[in-house]
Amino acid sequence: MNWQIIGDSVRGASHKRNGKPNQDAWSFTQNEGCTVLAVADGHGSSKHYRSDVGAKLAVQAALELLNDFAHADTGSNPRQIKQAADYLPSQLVQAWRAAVDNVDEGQTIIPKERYSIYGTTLLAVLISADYALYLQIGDGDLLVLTEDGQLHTPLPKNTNLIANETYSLCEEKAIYHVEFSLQFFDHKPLPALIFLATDGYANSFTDSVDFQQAVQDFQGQIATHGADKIQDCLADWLNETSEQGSGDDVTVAMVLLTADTTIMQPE
Amino acid sequence: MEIIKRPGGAMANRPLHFFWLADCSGSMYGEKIEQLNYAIRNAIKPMQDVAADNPNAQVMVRAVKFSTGAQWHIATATPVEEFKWDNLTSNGVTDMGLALQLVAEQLDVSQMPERCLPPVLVLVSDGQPTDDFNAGLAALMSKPWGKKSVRIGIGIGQDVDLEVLQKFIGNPEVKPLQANNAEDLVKYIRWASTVVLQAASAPASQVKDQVSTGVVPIPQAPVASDVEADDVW
Repeated sequence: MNWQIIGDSVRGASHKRNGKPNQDAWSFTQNEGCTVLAVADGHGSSKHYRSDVGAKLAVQAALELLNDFAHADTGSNPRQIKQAADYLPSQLVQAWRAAVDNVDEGQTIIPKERYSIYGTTLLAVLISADYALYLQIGDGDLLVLTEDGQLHTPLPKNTNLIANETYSLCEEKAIYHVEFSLQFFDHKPLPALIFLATDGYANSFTDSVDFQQAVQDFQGQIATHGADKIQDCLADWLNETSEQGSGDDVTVAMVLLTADTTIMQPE
Repeated sequence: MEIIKRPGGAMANRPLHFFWLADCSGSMYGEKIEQLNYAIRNAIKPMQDVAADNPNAQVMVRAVKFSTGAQWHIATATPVEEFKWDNLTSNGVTDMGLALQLVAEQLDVSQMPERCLPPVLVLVSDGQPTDDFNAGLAALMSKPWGKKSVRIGIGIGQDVDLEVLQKFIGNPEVKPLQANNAEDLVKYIRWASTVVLQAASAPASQVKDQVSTGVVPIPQAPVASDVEADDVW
């Protein structure tokens, strides 16, 4: 199996009006053993005034952690992999906090306040030869379109998050709000497209049906026009989405099952 | 060059529902109700201007009047661009709890989907409830959007029950505003229609476990004016 990644992130229409930066971040890593993609949405309010940095740190922490996880000597036994994955929430929160401590350089004495300044969500997916691992804390969407055309949400939806509330890596009890799930590839059908987006994307559609249609459309258009062409169009589409929709920063990134064997590197 | 259709269905800005809850009891008779009508009408244009500055929110206005019973004054969620104000008249008692129940019925997630912005509820009263206020508040707070709503309480005159308005607001950091004269009432109504609306229409994310004082930080309210005793209600 080979995987290709496309994605982009744009500054929200309301952020442009108010002089705020893009507080979303995304990146990926690919090597022989695995593909990891991560997307984060910094909270953005004055209380979280370095959340754009926090989002970048979260993405970086997820890439390193999940890449290490894929290459760790956990064997290929699903039970052992599941047991090892149970430690991921605490490892992720620790890694992100360590990264925040490092960039903050002691400017903020009280840890709770320090982490709050950098508060962010995170969505990530790891694909190895044997499984996909999905991970999320906070809002945003992670959907999987399988080879048979079915759309799945591999992680439970937080039904108690409405309005602009979200769980966050900056919470004291963040590890309890990190959700993850494993999908082993011995169970077909395989994922054909794994779609990650910050909440600014789904909030721009009239309803969830119109949003989910986007995931199906992406697959169809990639099949018709090729991933490179869709990558070229993505920034314009996301800008249009933010302008006509939520006004929020918008980040969309996806992993595609492909016959191409090229290993990509982030820009 | 080939144009590829943007993926996905229809897009839309995010609805923001704004509710006036106006006391029309007998004690509002005369200058108070006249000034309330004037203040709301006077705030329409500034409210429309604020809404126009944020094309990513669609502000929809409704109004409930309460006296003996409660009923819709503006029943249909009306785009702010089309919002007009018909004068209220006063008569009867203060069934504030029923007004809250009426609004609560509209705050169900089935009618107000998750992508909406937090609704704004502005309660204006000059007295104290004559019905079961707590039952009305409980009905409101039983709805997810009720809990997440931005609630502003404006008292008119000296006889208003500020404790009740504080319970309605449900946030110790936000105090009820007390308008003791026409000038302050105009000022507070305009603040709720513009500054509060603006804050609610572009809210940043709030961390769930850190939200003790509402999902939208409430901006500083205007200070009461210094008026002659003769002008005080």
